[in-house]
Amino acid sequence: MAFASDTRAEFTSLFSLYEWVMIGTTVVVFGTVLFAAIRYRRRPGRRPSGKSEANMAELVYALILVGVVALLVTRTFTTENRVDAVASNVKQHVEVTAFKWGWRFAYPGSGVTVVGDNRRPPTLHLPVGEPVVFAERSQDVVHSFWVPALRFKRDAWPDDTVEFELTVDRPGVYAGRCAEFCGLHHSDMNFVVVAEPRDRFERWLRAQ
Amino acid sequence: MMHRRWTPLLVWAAMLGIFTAIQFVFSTNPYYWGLLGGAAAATALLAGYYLWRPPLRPAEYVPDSSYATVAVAAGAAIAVVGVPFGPWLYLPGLGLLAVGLGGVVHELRVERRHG
Amino acid sequence: MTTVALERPRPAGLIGWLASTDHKRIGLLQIGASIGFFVASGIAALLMRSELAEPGMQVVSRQSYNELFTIHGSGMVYLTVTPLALAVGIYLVPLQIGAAEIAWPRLTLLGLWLFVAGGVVMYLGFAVDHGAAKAGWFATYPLSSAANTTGKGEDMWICGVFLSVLGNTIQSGTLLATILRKRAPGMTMARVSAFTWSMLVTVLLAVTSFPVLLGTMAALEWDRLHGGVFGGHYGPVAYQLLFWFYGHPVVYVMFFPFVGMVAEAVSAFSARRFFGYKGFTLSMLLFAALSMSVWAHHMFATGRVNNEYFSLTSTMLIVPAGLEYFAIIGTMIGGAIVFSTAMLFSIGFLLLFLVGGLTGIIVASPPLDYHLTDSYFYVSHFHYTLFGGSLFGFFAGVYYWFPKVTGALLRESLGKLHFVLMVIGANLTFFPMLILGFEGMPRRVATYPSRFTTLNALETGGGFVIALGVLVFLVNVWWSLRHRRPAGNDPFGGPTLEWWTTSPPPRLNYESLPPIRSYAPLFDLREERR
Repeated sequence: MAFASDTRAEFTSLFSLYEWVMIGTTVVVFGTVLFAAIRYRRRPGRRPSGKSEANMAELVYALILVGVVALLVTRTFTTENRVDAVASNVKQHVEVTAFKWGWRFAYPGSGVTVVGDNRRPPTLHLPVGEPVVFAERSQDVVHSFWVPALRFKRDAWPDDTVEFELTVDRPGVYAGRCAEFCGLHHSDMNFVVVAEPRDRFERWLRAQ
Repeated sequence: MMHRRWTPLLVWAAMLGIFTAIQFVFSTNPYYWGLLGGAAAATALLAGYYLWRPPLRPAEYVPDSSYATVAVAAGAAIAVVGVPFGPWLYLPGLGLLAVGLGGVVHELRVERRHG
Repeated sequence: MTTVALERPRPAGLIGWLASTDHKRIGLLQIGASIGFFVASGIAALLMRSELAEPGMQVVSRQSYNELFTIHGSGMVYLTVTPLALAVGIYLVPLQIGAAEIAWPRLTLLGLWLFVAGGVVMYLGFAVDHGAAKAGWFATYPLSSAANTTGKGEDMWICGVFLSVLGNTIQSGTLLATILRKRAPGMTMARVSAFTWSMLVTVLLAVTSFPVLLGTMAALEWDRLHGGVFGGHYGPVAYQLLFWFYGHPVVYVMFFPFVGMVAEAVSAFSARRFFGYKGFTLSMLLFAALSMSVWAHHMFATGRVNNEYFSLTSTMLIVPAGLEYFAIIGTMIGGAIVFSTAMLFSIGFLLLFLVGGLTGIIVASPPLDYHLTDSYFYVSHFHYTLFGGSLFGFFAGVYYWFPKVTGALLRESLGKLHFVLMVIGANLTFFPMLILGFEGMPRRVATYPSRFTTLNALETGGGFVIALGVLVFLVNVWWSLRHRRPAGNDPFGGPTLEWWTTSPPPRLNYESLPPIRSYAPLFDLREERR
């Protein structure tokens, strides 16, 4: 993928591996169960088998399962290392503060702050195609910053700041939601993400 | 091996111990090893208890009902709910709990006399 | 065998039931109470689904919606499936191990009433100012603090949870003692039935993790009354770490007994002794040990726990789960399968729980979980495991053991209708949630953007199909008891000890016992006689 912290691309790539494993497993298990149900239904003259174990087959099967675990875990770990990483040389920073029931987005260095709540959701402007480091905090209870289009969420805590890095690789308007139940207006604690080219973004910043 | 009553407990305690040990490859957070290691230790103690427990006595007398137990439950429940409400609720609860416990002690004594 | 005698003749009528120390009566009362709470939580769910049929608020207020989903989740976890899981063990385990009685019957009875009292207290929250609890079934802090959730309803919830889980913990102790010390002569641990093995790992999970919940709830209540426990740096994280140390094992407590029920039903209705017993028992122990080790996977998106360790242990769950499927399907293969309702629910269990398990492996990967957690994908996952898994397993067990418990057969025609309604209802309700979550619908919301309407409406329809299925089941139970068809001791040719005694069993379970030479003593006897 083109950019570090392109969480959408990382998700899509990892998910496709998991999808294949899931579909394969579903086909095998559904197939085996339905085969067994049909082939071994009671019929006159059928005597059930007296065999009550198949240790070699079971051992081989267990080793295959261990292999599947190893594959999934290694791909997960390598993907996560990239997704969780926060580079130190990133130019653009945003401070996110969650509260009951809205969001404050601050752009350090420019003096710009955008605030909105459940009645008037705020808009988060971001430059497209470059990494952005977020520092997130809550003013009260635990909330969660979720942008489904970026396939990423991170909880907001009252007792500490959490950092993460995201890159939006396509310009557009995206939905943002609170994803940690936080009380009465949790359902409406939304925001909008506008990702635009760097020059348009800076023009917007200056206009605030 | 599995036929000893405490073997499954020891096997389980060992598994918990291994998963606790693996934690240290990733983190030394005391919440992690404290909770899981604590569970491992508790299971090992349970295994030890069943190892040393004397065998059952030859005859047992079994109760058929226990009103006192229901009183214990009711008393405990009222006492617990009383905590956020105040002494006007938890004190009677504790009272009922005490009565119930007394009743259970009485039931056990009667049983032991017959045994 | 130790001789057992009764203290005095059993009291008649209602009191004879409510204060009885007969494990069979305690088990049945607890099953009955759990089903009662299930219906109440189900009604809460139907109200939620009615609200969610369309965007906007039409049926309830936002606050009521938050109370409803809190009580629905809490009712299902604390007041339905957990007590049910223990109750089936309380009834069946002494019978399956050839014991006359459960160990410490008074404590077992105490557990029943503590659980019932806890449930009543939780629901009484609706009657106080500010309503019932509304901070979700795990009461995340600081949302659950006094400042953020006012009203005694939340405190009553904490008390109700404490009482109920205290009852569960006590019963787990008595069941553990029963399995370890009350087995009939000849029944070594290696000859204990698949269901009793599943109960053993269940109670091990409960006795080692439930006490942590008791401490956490006490601490939370202290914090609400006096402050100073979970505030401050790391406090909210500590709350979640402590809660989930109980919160994960409890979902396995809610699962293992029903896997055990399916294992036995499949064995009986395939006319085949349970396959791969050694692998099954070892993998149950591994499954339970892993389930104690994964708990912070509920916290992947927090950014404050070690994701790698917990995703490693969570993904490893594939191994024992796969081995369990090997044993159960292996029992079907080479058998002579009868498609009784119990068998149908067992097959439904295998297929529906698979969806739940696989979606669980997906969310066990933090980068995938970052998108999918706290969304409807996750709601689907735990409903497939709890509903498609535990509940289907429970129904398999009911259709198998009802004749033993009551002496009467359940109607197969109504049973099959019940099964069909449940399969359709479950998939209609929970499958679209996978899509909704992926597309960005968070959980615990009372409204949503209009593009999600069609799938939500479908799910609401599914909820009512489920309700119809449950109704059919209750009618079946009532009808079968009203117009009894006698079952006899062993209507299905069961493999385990309980089929030796009468239906229902006498007060002290057995007048005599057959020889016990394996985990399927009645199959052995039948083979010998042939």
